[in-house]
Amino acid sequence: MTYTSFYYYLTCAAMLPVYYILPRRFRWILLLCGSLFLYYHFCLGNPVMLLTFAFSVLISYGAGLLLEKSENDAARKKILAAGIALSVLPLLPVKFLEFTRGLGLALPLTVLAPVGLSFYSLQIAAYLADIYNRKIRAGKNPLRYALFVSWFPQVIQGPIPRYAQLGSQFDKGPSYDDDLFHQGICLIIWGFFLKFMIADKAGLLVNTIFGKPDIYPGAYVFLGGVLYSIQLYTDFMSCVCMAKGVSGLFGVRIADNFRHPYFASSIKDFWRRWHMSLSQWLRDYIYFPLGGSRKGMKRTYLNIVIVFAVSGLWHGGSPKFLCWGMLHAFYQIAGSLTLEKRNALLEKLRLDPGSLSVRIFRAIATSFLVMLAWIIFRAATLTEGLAMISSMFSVRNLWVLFDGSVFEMGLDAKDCVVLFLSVLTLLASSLIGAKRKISAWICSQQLPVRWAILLCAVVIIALTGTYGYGYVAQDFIYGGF
Amino acid sequence: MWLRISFTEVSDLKTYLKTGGSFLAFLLVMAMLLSGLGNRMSRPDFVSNYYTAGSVFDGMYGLQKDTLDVLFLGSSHGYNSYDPQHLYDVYRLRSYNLSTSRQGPIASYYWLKEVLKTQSPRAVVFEVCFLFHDTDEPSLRIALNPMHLSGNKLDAIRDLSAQDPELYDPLSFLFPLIRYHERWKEPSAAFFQKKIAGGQNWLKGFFPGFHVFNEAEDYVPFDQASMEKIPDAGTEVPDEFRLRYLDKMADLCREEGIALILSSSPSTQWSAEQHNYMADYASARGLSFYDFNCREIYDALNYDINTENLDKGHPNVYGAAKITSFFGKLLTGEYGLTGTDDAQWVKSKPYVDMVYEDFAVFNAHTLADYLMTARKDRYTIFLTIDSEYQASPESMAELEKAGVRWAPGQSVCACIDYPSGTVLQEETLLEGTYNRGLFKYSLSLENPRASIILNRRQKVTNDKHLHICVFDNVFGNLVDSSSY
Repeated sequence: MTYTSFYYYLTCAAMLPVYYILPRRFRWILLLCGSLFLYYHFCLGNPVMLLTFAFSVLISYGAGLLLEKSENDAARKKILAAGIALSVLPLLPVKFLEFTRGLGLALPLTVLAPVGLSFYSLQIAAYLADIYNRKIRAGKNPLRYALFVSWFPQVIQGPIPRYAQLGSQFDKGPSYDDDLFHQGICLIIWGFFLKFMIADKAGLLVNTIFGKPDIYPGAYVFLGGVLYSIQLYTDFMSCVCMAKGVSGLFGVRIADNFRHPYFASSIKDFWRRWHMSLSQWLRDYIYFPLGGSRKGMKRTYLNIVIVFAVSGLWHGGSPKFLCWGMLHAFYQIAGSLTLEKRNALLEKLRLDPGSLSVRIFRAIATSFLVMLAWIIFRAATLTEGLAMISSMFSVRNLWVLFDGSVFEMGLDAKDCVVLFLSVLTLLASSLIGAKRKISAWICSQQLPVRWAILLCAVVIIALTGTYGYGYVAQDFIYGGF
Repeated sequence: MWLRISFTEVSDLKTYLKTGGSFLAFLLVMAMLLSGLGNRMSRPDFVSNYYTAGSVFDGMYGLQKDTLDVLFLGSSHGYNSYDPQHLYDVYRLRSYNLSTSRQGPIASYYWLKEVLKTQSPRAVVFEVCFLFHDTDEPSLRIALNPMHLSGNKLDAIRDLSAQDPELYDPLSFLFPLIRYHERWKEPSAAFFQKKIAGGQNWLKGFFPGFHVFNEAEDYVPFDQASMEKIPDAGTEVPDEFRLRYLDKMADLCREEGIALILSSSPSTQWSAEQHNYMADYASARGLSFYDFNCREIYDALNYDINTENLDKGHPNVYGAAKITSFFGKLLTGEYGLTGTDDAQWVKSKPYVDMVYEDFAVFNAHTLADYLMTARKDRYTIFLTIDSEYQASPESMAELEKAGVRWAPGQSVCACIDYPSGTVLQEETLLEGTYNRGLFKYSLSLENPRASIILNRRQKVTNDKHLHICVFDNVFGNLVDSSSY
């Protein structure tokens, strides 16, 4: 079962009437039952995964209580360290084995990573750190705490929630919110649009190009890079939309995770817009504790390197992920070092940094740099990724983008047109959505108009989407990290 | 506390009911829309102008209750072999043919169960060929998609998904869009065609094969009595899954007091090993098995696979008439079935006769034959003859009868429209409308190529001297097009 499964939505639909019949203070019990039931299915009933998950929940719950009770700073530090270490313990062998595999060392070991491990590990670490910093109080009810960790719409791939934001909603008992409910439906449909109409279509071409980089060099790599940038964004955002949408149906608000990242004017800005819950986590629990930017230039840059190294390793243990993180650190440091010179150049050219043309140029340049990093991120190995980037600049075969070769790579001409139109729709919605919330606009319409818009969208997705028979369903990419 | 909470939240109840009702209605409309769209997308089961699987099953559901004496089941060998109209015309037996392309025994079994909900046939004739072949997933779906949602359909889906949960995902049967949504890329006239020519399933599941095979020079029927095993031929055992459903059919027929008759149509691909298996099976089960590949029956029917089959394994219209007559005689004789007058078969008779007239046109081989067989009020004939065509005296006479003025050394483009009684002709280019003005035609003779375009589709274009197309205005289909 995944977030696009019929049975997932059937379970949600079955829960909803019972949920709203229950008095508010008991609703969390149904949500917990639903979360555990769905987590069981996400894990395909694997007892090792379920026990590992339960272990992390229990340890972190106990550590939270101990942290709150303890007044001794030294003891609290030890509890925090032990709590985090034990709770995220299952993550370490998983990442270690990934790293050895990435280095070509095949150890005769296999570790079964529970579904959503990377996400709930950070969630738990943030919970304990917040109690330690006395920002929040520990959850008293172990079952309600278990609901916070296992909240089914986001347990597999985030956004990474904070207890202050999500846990408190369960404590109070979520209430029905008309806007949230109706916008939730829009978000679920939008999520399916992003997944079936863009991510999975682009994925077919991406898999072909990255699967055989020797056969597809030069302009193909450029195309693959652009498409992978789109695929990764829409795939991840589709999951977040579905998570937000389903949460909204139950009156639960969860945080945004993206804010038009490819409109970013710099790498620093990109990370303020991309996977925001992870960026904020890294900022709050790694960067700031290391001193942030308060300890001089060199230390700031070192902190940036450390943060991106952690980010890279969080995405995967392989050296290519570490390199991807380092490349982003380099971008950011280089961006900072050259900021004055770039501004001076703009002044010399008499260009207003706030003008539309400069902003568009910066967004394109930033997206290009991000795309280069994504190529390393997606390639099978670091060396293969570097070779692909190199071929992009050395092999001259631009014509393959226009002579129909693209239609021979797993996505036919009609599907390519659908993909192109869908990307344009996404672009238009991003441009409009930057100013006003489209889902809110749809929900403000009269019922027949609202239904017509939503049903049209459903029919278009159902007809032209990439899913079902004949396709190997693509897993959500971030679910694999 | 509990009471207070419950009481305060009663005010929310109206909101919940309103939103819940609206949400539920939205989900229902969405489900209906997707299901309906899926059913439409699953309809390209168009095989010919006279046969689509969907319309065959729709026709069965449309039969009056308890009006069926005989049910035919099986694969394409079945739908080409058994002609319900012929059985009625000659023996007054009311029958229906529910065979579909590559129909596996699982589909036959569940369709038998479905038919028994409304009908009480006294005999079921099952063509056994696909007991020995695997049915592909598309063919199985073509056979099962038209079944109304029922316990039988759910059971069939359950059995199939137990075999292969991914290939036969139960959800894809309930929402066929999951399976067929990719068809949005290939829209065509046939794509959305639900009904066959003439709008109704007059042929009651029979698919008339028009072609004549003429390539089975080496075919020799088995020299053995039809019910006996062929010595030294060995035995070919069918797959256990397929056999299970034949067993179920046999059990069900026994419980319901229905005679299950096994049949194998004349085929160059049928083997002695297969015959032996079926003979043993029938003997062990107390069933009758009639193998038309055995000399005893083959000769008794005076069957000729070259002229009475349309290909290696499928009887054509001539062959079907013989096989159907065989069963008519058998059922009214040995099985004691008696004929009954029924308007459902009387009503279809004129239309089935027209299909046979189409068959005659299809098998015309000279201009004279065409003009003669197509001289009916429902046909429109399109004709181009160039100056080099050598016409026989018969053809000249038929052209004159049809009202076309042509002499050797001349060229002509002509449209003989019998429904309106008009004949239009020009020397090199003729354009106009046909089929009650619905479609446009364009005939041209611009050397060296002639061209006939009907309803914006090129039907003939080559450098031969005579081109002829015959359009049927009742069934709304092109019967044949030829060049000489």
